[in-house]
Amino acid sequence: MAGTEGEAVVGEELQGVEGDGEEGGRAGLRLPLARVKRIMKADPALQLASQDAVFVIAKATELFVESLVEEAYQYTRKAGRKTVSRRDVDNSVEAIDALAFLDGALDWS
Amino acid sequence: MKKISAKSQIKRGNTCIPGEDNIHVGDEGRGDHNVETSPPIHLGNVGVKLENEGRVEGPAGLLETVEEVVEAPWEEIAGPDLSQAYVVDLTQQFNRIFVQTSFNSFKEKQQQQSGGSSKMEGAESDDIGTSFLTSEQYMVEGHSVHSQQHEDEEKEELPHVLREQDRFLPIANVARIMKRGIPKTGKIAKDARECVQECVSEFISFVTSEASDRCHQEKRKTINGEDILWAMNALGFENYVEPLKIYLQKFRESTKGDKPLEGSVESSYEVDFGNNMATFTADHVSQSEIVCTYGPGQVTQQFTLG
Repeated sequence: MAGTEGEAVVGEELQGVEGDGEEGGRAGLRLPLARVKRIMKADPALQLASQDAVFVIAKATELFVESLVEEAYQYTRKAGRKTVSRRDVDNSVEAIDALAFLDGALDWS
Repeated sequence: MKKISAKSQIKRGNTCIPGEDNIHVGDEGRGDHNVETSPPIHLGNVGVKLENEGRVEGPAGLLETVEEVVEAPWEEIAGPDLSQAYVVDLTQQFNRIFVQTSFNSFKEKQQQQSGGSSKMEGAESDDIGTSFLTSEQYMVEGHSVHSQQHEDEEKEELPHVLREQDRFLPIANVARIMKRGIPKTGKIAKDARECVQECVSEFISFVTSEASDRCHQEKRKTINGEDILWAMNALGFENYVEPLKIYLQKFRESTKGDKPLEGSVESSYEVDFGNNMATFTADHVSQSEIVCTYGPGQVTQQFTLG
């Protein structure tokens, strides 16, 4: 990423302005790799993870978030609202097979 | 009488009065991470200043008085951890020291929650330390300046913060990504953000454990990108695989050119400087992202390099 864009991002970060999620870090990554790694390491079975692996998971997480929200937004729209609520997210989780792992894993209270 | 006047001299001098707000000595005692200079210097200053002001008291007498004044508040101060921060070793050791202050409370919390959460299970203190160091738990929110870490709250605040930061990605980052999935006019409720934040951690754990299982089956110890991709495929996220391959390629290309920053994200600690005013830690969480933590208020900013 060229300096200009980088600066813009940095400026945005510094001001705490949440932009429209433009290209951020390396390959557009917007999540802190160290944190991702930390969550990965919480699994006692995990011994070592290559940098690639951490990156791929981080990036996959971004895609995951985006898709999840897109789905949730469908429910938001259906209800005629503009604000995505937790209920919308819940509905998405129930509706999508691949998200079955989230069932019961979340604190529904 | 003389002592009293000396004290009042000190007060008017308005420097180095222990326990006062603007005094580093006092501040240090009270838990403010304003690690300025070491106390003796202040004492010396006071002595000199008073002399300059033409007070009659001999230096020794003044110093004694000052020492008395100074000593007392220090005794009151119950900030044991902070003394560690005074160590002027600002190299790699710095992080450990700086972090040590919060590490102790972190460890406590870990032990407290060890029953509930399986995270960190079986980890020795070293692992905790390592994980602690690799974490950014002295970051409250991912990127923006968080000023709620005031002196008083700091100690109480930190354990709470730690617990969340252990398990989740920064909610600000998550929220920003969420916004990409909805039109600009859309908004996201706070509970929705939190919910997704939790989902994210579950997702990471889920995929990781799948990949890790596979690695284990193949008698390998290190999971790599391919393993993750395979796991995603297996878990029903096959539609992510192709885009991820492309991103991975970009990532690899972009990391090739970074000689200074090369290496894994583990070797990410870099102490830029720690001067008298503030502690500064730059944490290269990836080649492109640096998390900077400024003490004493633990202001944190995340810079993303283009």
